[in-house]
Amino acid sequence: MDTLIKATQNVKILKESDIIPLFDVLKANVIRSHMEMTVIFLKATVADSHQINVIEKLEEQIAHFFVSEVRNTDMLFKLEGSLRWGILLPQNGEEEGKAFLNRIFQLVKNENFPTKIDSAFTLQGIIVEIKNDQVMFEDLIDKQFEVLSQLSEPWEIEIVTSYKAQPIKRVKVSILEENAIFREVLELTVQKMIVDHFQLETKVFSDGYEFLQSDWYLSGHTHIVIMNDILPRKNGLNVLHTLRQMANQKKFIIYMMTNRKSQSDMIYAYESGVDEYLIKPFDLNLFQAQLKRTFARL
Amino acid sequence: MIELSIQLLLYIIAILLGFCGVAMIYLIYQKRNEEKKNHEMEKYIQNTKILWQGYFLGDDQFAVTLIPKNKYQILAVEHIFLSYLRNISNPIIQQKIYTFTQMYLKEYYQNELKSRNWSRKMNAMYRIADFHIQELIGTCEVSIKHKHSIEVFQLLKIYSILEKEKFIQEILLCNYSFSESEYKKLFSYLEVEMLQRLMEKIENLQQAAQYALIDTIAAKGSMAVIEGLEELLVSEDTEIRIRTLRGLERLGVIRNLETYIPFVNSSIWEERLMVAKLFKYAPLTYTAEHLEKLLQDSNWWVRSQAASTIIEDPRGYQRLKEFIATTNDQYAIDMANEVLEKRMRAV
Repeated sequence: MDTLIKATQNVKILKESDIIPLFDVLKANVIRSHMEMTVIFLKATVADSHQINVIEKLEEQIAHFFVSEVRNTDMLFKLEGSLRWGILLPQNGEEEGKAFLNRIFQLVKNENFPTKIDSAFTLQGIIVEIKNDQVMFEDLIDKQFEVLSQLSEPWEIEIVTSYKAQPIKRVKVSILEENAIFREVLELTVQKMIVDHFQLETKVFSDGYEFLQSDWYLSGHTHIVIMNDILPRKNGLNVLHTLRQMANQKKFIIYMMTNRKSQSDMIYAYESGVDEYLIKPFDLNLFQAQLKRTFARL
Repeated sequence: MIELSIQLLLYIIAILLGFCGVAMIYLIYQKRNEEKKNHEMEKYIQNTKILWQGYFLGDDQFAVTLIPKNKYQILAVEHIFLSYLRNISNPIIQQKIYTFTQMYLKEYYQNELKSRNWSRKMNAMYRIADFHIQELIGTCEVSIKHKHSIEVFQLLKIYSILEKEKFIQEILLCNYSFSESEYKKLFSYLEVEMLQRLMEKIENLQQAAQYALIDTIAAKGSMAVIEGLEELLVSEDTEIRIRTLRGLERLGVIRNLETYIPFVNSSIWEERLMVAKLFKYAPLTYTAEHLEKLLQDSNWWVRSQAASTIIEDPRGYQRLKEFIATTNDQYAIDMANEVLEKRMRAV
C-alpha cells in the first residue's frame, strides 16, 4: 500500500492526506458520542540539521520510537516537512494528551529509548482538543504551523483551545402540571438553570391532551418531558405510553412527578419508560441537580 | 275524580313559579358569588405570584402587599401555600409559610373554628394541620363538641403532626375506629421512634390500627424496627404474622434464620409464601433445604416463589438442575423447569 510508510505492531504511520477522511469520521462522532478527541503535533529539532542523510535516518528512528509509544487505537501520521508528526487520540481529551506528551518528552530527555536513535534531538508539541464538528483538518495544519513557528524553547508544549467550544444544542423542555402555581415555579427553575452548550426551549402544559395535541413534541430535538402522573383529560401515564411508542422515542427523557411512594408504582413507572421519578413534595435543588446530570449525559 | 278550579290551579302554578323564581335567584346569586370568589382569588394570585416566588424561592424581602385583606384573598393565599407545601420540599419555604399563617391567618382560623357552619370549621382544621398552627389546637378541641368521626380523625391528624406525645395517648384511648388507610395516614406523620413506642403497646390498638402500624413501620425502612417486628411473629393473630413477615421482607434483612424456619411448615399458605420470599435475603447454602421443601408445596404460589428465590441465587441454577434430577414430585419439577426456561430466555 502506497499510503503506508511504515508499520510496526498494529500502529501504522499514515500520510497527512490519508488522515483527513479518518479525521472527518471521528469528528462527526465527537458530536454523536459526546466524546472529545485530541490531535497532538510534534516537531523534532536536531543540532546539526544540514546533513540530509542524517535527518532522514533520524526521522525514521524517531517515528519508530513514536510507534512503540502510541496505543493501537491512536493514529500516527507524518506531516509534510521534515521531523514533524501528528498523533490523533480518539476519545481522549487535553489532559490525556498532556500526559502523553510529558511521558514522551521525559523518555527522550532521559534517553530511555526502546529503539536506537543516533543523534540527540529536542521536541516541541501542540495539543489540540476537538469538541466540535466545524473544524477542518486543513485549519489544524495551518494552526500547527503557526503555533510551532512561535515556539522558541525546546520541550515546550502549547495548548490550542480554539476548537474546544462545543456547538450549542437545542433541547426542548415540556412541563405538564395541572397546578398553575407549581407549573410556573418549575418553569422558572428550568429557565434559571445555566447549562453550557445547551439552548433550552421551555413550554408548559396544563394537561396531557393539550401536550399531545400540540406539534411541539414531534420535532427531532432532544426533549425533556417533566410531567405529573395524574393530569386532567389525558394523564401522565397515557402521555408516557404515547411517547414511548413513537419511532424516535429515544429523544425523550421523561421525568415523572407523583405522590405515589410505593416501590411497585416506581417499578411500574421505570418499566414503562420513565427516566427519573420525583416523589412530591421534592426539593427543587435536587431536581436541578438531576436535570444537570441529564444534560451532562446528553 | 278530583276536581280543581282553574283559579286554584293558577294559584298552585304561581306558587310553584314563585319557588322556581326564588331557587333561580338563589342559584344565580351563588354562581355570582362563586365567580366573584374565583375572580378575586385569581386577581390576587396574578398580582402577587411574582412577589411570592421572590419571597419563597429568592432572597426577596416580605412585602406588605402580600397580606390578605379579605376572605377571598385569604383563600387565594391558602391556595398558593398549599401549592408550595404539597409540591416542594424546602424547610425554609415551610417556615416562611408557618410564620406567615401564625402572624396573619391565625385569627381568621380561630373565628372559623367558632363558626356554626360545620364545613367551615372542618376547613379551618385542615388548614391548621397544613400550616402547623399549634396555638389553635386548644380551640380545635373545644370546637368539636358533638364528636363526629371525621372531626376526631382530623384532630388526631393535628396531634400526629404537631403534638406527637398527645397523639400516642389519644390513639390508645380512642373509641372511634377508622379504616386501615386512615390509620396509615395518621401513623405516616410519626417518626420511627414514636412508631416503636406505639409498637410496644400494639395490643391496645384497634385491629385495623395494628395492621396499619405494622405496614407503616416496615415502610419506614429502618433497621431499628426489625427486632420489634420479629417479636410479633409469635402473635396469635394470623394476619399480624403475615403482615409482619411481609414487612420484614420489605426491609430485606434476615438477622437469624432460625426465627423463620417454623413458617416453612406453617399450615397457612400465605406464611409459607412470605417465608419463601424472605429467604432470598439469606445465602442459598442455608436455605436450600427449606426452599426445596417449599418447592414441593401444595400451593402454586408458594412453589412459584420458592423456585424464583432459588434461581435468584448465583448457585440457584445448578441447585434447581440437581433438584429436578433427584425428586419425584412432578409439580415441583414443572415449576423448577418453568423458572429455568424463563432464566434461559432472559439470558
